[in-house]
Amino acid sequence: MIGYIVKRVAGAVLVLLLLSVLIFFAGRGLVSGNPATLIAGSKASPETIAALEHSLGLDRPIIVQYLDWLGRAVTGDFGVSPFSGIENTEVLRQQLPVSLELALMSLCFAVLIGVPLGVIAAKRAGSWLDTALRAPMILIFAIPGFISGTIAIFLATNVLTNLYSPVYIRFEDNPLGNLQIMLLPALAVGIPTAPLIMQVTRAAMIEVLGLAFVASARTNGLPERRVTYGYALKAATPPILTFIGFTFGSLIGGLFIVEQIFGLPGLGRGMLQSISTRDFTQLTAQALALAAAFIVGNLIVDLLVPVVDRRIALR
Amino acid sequence: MTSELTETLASTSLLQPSKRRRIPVVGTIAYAVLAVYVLLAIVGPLLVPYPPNQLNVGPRLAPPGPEFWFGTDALGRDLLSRVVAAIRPALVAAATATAIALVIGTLFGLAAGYWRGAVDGVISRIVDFLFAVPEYLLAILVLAVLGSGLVNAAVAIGIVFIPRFARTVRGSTLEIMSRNYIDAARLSGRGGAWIMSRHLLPNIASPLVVITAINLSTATGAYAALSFLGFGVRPPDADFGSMIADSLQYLTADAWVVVPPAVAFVILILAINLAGDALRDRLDPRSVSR
Amino acid sequence: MTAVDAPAVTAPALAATGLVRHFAVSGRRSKAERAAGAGRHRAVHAVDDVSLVVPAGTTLGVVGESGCGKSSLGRLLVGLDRPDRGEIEWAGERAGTHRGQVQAVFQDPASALDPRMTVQDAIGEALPGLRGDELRAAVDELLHRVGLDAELAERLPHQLSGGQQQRVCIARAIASNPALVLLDEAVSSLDASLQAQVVELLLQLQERNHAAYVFISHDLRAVRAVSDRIAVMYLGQIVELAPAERFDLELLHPYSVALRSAEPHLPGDGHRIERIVLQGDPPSPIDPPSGCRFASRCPVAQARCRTEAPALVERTDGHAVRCHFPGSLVPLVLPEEQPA
Repeated sequence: MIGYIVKRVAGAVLVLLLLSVLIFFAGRGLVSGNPATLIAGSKASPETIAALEHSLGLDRPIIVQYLDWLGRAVTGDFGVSPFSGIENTEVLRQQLPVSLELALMSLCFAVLIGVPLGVIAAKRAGSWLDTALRAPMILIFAIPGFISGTIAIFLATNVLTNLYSPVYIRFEDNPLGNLQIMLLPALAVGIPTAPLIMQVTRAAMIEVLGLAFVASARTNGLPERRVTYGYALKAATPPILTFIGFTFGSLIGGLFIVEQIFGLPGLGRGMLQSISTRDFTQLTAQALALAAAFIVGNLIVDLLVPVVDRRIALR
Repeated sequence: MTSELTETLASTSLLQPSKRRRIPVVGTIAYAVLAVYVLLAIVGPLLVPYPPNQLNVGPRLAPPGPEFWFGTDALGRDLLSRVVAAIRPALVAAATATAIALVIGTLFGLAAGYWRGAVDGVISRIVDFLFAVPEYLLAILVLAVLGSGLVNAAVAIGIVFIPRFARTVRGSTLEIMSRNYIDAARLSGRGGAWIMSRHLLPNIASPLVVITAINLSTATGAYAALSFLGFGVRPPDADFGSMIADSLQYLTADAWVVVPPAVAFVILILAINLAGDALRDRLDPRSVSR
Repeated sequence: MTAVDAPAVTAPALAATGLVRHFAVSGRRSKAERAAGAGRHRAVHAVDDVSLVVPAGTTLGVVGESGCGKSSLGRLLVGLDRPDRGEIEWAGERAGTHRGQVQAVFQDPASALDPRMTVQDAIGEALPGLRGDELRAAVDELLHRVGLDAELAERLPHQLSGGQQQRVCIARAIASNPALVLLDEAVSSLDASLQAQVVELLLQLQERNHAAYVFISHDLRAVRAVSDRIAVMYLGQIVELAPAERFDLELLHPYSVALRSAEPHLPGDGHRIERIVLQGDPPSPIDPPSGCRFASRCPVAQARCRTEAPALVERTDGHAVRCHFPGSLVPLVLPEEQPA
């Protein structure tokens, strides 16, 4: 078990390291040419630019710049944006919680919709109910997040206006108001993910329901509800959980789009703004934070799966 | 377990449930709709009533009517003309992205499966890494470097999709490499180029077509999403994603402006999806009984 | 062959010395393996110190239970796999690049023929020098030689019967006039009457082409029918190598004796041998025991067998055995039962 944890953590750190290289150079790629010229403006004198280069450390070899950037990033220091003059760590402190909250709420919706529907479909596999539940799912599955987001913002601005605020309400200022305005965005991200979770739940449940121990639980006179939820669903949890880890990637895609549509000040929207203002210091900080959150999320799932599995093995 | 699940997902089409009640009509309709879109992508610009980028051909935000069937947008451009004009970039981007991923992914997968050993080790590590990176994050980082535009967005999607092809091709290649006819070809002195072109490619063609179809539909969605975020064709050219994004600000008073591009796009992506499903049912050895 | 190629005439078609092939095993050690003190880096000893010589125009049979390493050995001999140690020579030349000088026929024609290649293309693959009409004529001639109609040239494998498929494989294997042909369970997938036909065909072709055969099978009767000499393999090693005619009552290794006794009796054999049933399964080829590898199942094993590994020693001309106590297990010969 300890070997497994060490292996997973090491794997996650390695992926994050490789990604940090990618992110760093993507940041430099964002600025085609000399970052110092971009910051100082094209009319600045060569002396000014040279001085700026020196003060930003841009005159050092690129590998040294990367290592320096990484070393500071590990301690949570992303420097000050030379464009806005704001500390990038402060930007992350504002934006990361927004994206995390949205991601978590979306995930909850996806699971709360997908798992029960999958269980029902599995119990009645092959019946009209199974078909009736799954047929609309193809539609939802085929529709990209920006369409569901568009529908959500339409509802928010026209029908459910009390769930919408053109200005973001922070959780610490008004928890209830914050949850209200996050509801529709989270549904817009969560609902398109639900069909996949439903499909996986259905497949895993069908497999588990055919196993001997479920049949024996049934013949031992346990009520059907307990057989389904107490035994079968518990046994089907590891594959479902593993798959939920797979959905994190599409969840991030959803963040970019829905934050943009609803004007939520999260990392996704922040990255797009950094790209348009060519603020590479801010972009790299945001991308690294997003990548780290994603990798930690996956790591948590990876570590949870054997825990869930073990409990079943011990029974 | 996880690979089994993705297998299950890949092999079960959502519309055609467990009993395999085939709905051939759906496939036929999907092919037909797709054919219309392809046709419009080619000749559409000649048929439309107005130049799609021309401003003020009518009043601003005119509702659909006899003159402007789909209405006009906020700059007085004809929405019907713009929706038709948006088909070409959508299809070109999806095809380009898929082609990039198909070619590079297939080469990687073939190389890994054929040479195995160190080559496989390196390629599989790269593929594993790319799989571990969220796709949209990777695409947007690529676009941060390349800048926006149809080709760049297609390249970004293509890069992101490479591992999907590489992994499938590698798996199929490994399976075929274990067949004795590969041994026989080697004994006759046939080299890598012969074995890849005469044995491997023909025998992995079916799974390749299937994942190509799946990825065409995913790429269509991905390109529209990137265009929605502002990475697609540059304005004033029409593009589904950017048209939908532009119309969001009129959703309170003139919400219908979003309807033509959104509906046209949803029909397109559903058609690609269902056509892919129909194709898979025909080609996938798991679903075809001999 | 002309007289100028003197070494090729005298050199055996195949000579292998000291072949070793181990496959690394990944994955977790089982409890039993750990208790047995298995190291972290374990290996399947597929082929362990095998040496053999096959003169041109003769057939060496290789027989053994499944998993004894006979197929791994076959792949080494024709260069489809590289040995970890040891040397292989084909017709006096060091084994290396394939130019059609060695060929193979495999057990499962369904796997040996590309489902998307016609018979013509499959056979043509072994004739890289030929094009167009020349190729067509050569393929027709080969099909004729293996007893198939030239019309089949345009067919795909699934349009042929199992016997026809195997004949196509044989045609492909002899197309390049190889000095050595590996026959790995080449007739095992066919039914009895087809087996006899295909074996007959192989022997005819051998007389004509003077190729050496390595005939691998788990079926001792088939091996005895085609071979000049027979090697018995157990856990990656040759335990007995004997001329085929001795391979009846003059066997020396207890495992060979047991193997021969298990061969089903057919009327006309002349005598029957009382079956010797071996206890237990062969030990795992992963890190095999240090003494005689057969000791755990040998009915006549003694203390020495468990500690000291015997070497393969030539007892009489052309008859070698790997046993401390050769000939100690004697088969019980019964008279053939007369039909009632």
